[in-house]
Formats: sequence, structure tokens, C-alpha cells
Amino acid sequence: MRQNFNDVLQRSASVQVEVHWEPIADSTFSLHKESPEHIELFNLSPSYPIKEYGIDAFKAFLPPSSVAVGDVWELDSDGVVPFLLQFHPGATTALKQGEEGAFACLRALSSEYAEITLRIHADFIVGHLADWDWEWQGEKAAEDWIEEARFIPSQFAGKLVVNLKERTVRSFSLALPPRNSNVDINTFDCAHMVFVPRMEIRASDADDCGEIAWNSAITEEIARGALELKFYKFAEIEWRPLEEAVELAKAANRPIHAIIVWGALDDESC
Amino acid sequence: MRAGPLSYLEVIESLNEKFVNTWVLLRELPELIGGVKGEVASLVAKKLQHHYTDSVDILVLTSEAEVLAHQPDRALPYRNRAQHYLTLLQRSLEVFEGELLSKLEAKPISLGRKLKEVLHIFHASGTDIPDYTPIEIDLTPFEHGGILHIEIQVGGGEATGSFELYNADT
Repeated sequence: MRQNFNDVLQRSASVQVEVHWEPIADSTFSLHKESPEHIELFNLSPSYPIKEYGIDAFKAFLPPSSVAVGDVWELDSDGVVPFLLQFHPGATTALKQGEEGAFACLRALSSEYAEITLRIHADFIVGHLADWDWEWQGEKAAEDWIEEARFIPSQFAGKLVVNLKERTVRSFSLALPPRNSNVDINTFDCAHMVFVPRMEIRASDADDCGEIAWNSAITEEIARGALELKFYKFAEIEWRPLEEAVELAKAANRPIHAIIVWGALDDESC
Repeated sequence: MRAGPLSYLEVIESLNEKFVNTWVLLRELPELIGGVKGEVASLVAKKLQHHYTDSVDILVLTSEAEVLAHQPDRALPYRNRAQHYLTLLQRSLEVFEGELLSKLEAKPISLGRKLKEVLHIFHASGTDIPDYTPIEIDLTPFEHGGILHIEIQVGGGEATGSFELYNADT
């Protein structure tokens, strides 16, 4: 069963999107509080706590041709960035380092609804060295300092549910997953991982909230796995949580290959 | 690491066919050691923490937490990293499959080689002359190049200092 999205989201409606963004809550070295300048750089708040979008804006997340459940397609960053600008004017999908991209997967489909799973990698440029009288331990900028300070979320995981009959957006969210290290902060001379409990934009249609009986669906875990593979070749390795790995190694009489890291392997937080 | 050896097809195939793979955040080890995921996972987590030396470390272990190989990522030879990674995996498998664990003698396989370990306490001299204590490193094993991996452990007291590397002829 394939779905063509060309005719959906055609109504002249608007959608109100809210931002929820909590401050940095945990950091081993408290880099974000090291000086008044650090505090100013990383004391971030939404550009627009609430913003109205024309329904056309959400076409950025739809596939260019008909798709079946499980299919993955690439998103045009020009359509994605306007949503990220609601967080901060420094939003960009051009990363300083790491794996760039924005992809979507059709997770579930019924005759009335479609649910699309999203994964977007983006940075926020929060300061330019030229604008700061920045120093480190009494020294002015060195040649190896970077030009931009960045707030780098691990990823934005999203969900868009489209009402195919009403041609409306039933719900939408883009959120930073609440893993215990989920943002990398880069000053001009230093970098560190931190935890932000909530960073999310979301919208929902209060008149459209009943249960959905899907005709075809894959689990969210499978959809997210398909998206991860678009960013990382290493995701083809069958990774397991430590406790599962130990049990399986014993049962299959295989050695355990373990990697210990400061920051997560499967996102951009390190 | 993830864009290097772990994205190399032969490494991926070897890991999926012959190993059970896991990655663990350093900050999650204390909780695992505490036993939240069971006794055996706790034992393995203890070994991971015990051997951790760098921002990314690779270990190969048995399910009984016997360490077969330990490779700090930074000490993996810089060129042909994927091939070296395959070598590390292959040697680990040979030990595992050959049941040669007893021959490891508590020294896990590593593609790096420990040249020297020095314990030295530097004292403030109380004058303007700092305590310069040179430590010679024999680099003859690097006749054809390579990467010298130096770890410096410091205590928690207040101090200032620097580490400098010079050619012996300087």
C-alpha cells in the first residue's frame, strides 16, 4: 500500500507551534557557567515561544513521490531550518563537524492518517569570536580558536501526523532526546558535553485526538533505526545493551567487542 | 572512530558474524557496576572501567569478563586504521577460539606497546628555578615512524606545570 502526499496539506490553514526549552541542567565541568561570558553565550531562550505557520510549511516533511510504510526520504534543509529558527536565529544544518542531513520515514498509515518519523541534525551558532572580547586564562584569541561558538544538539527526533482526509496537521513535534548527555557546547577555545532536559517544538490539533487504527505500521524503533542508517554506516553493526551482550555472548559462545566512550556513538552530542 | 574503522565493510561483517557488540558511555559505568543490569554485566562493567584510559577505548572480552584485547583508539596506528582494527579483531578471535586465555598472562592484546612507565613526584623548589626533571624515552622502535602515545596522570592538588617534549639533541 503506497501513499501519494501530493494532495495533502492543501487547505489554507495555519498551525500554532510552541517551543519548550529548558536550560542546561547537568555538566561535569560546568563550562557553560565558567565566566559571565560563558553564561551569556549559553543562557539561551526561544526566538519565538509561539509561532503560527502556514500549513504549506509542513510540506517540507512530506515525500516527493508516493511511499510505502518503512520507506525513507531525504528532506530539503531549506524547508526544515525555518522551524529551527523558532528556537534560535543561529540555526543551521551546515554542521561544523559530524554527519549532516535530515531524513524522514513513513512509520504508519491508515486510510485517514499517516505518521512520519523525522531525524534532523542541526547546530545553533550562538556567538562569533569577532563580536566578543574573549580571553582564556589571561590570553587573547589564539590561532587555533574557532570562529563560532556553537550549541550542538545530539539530534532532533520528530513526528508528524497528517490527517489525510481533512488535509490538516494532527500533531507535530521536533525534540532533543532526553539522553543524559545530549548537547555538545563549543566555545571559541573549548568544548564540552551537557544535558538539556527538554528542547522541543510541538503542535497539536485539539479537535483531532482520538485513537488511530493503523492499517500498516512499523515500530518507532525500526523507523528510527532506518533513519540512523542514513547518517551512520557503523549503524549496520548489531549493537546491544551491555547486559544483553553478556547474555548473548555466553549463549552464542562469542567474544564481546565493547567500546567505552565519553559521548554517544549514535548521535552528534560528542 | 565511527566514520573510520567502524564504517569499513569488512570490519562490520566481522563484528556481526563473530562478535557480540556493545558500546557504553563512561558515565554510565558506575550505575552498571552498581548492579542495575545484573551481576555479570556488573563484572564486565568493572573490567571496562578498570581498563579505560582514553576518550575512546576498545576492549574484547569473554562473557566471564576475561579481557582478551584492549586498544585505546588514539593508540591505534594512524594509517590503515581499518586494517589494524581487523588485525586486532582477528588476534582476539584466535585467542578466544584457541582457548589460549592462560597464555595472555594478564596482558591483553594491544597494537600499541608500552615502552616505559615512570612515577615521579615533582616538588616546588621554593625559588624561581622550576623542577625540570628530564625523562628519556627510547624511540628506536619508531625508526620507521609511528605514533607515540604519552599519558600523564596528575593528582588533585593545586599546582602549575607543563609537559614539554624535546629531541635529545636539543
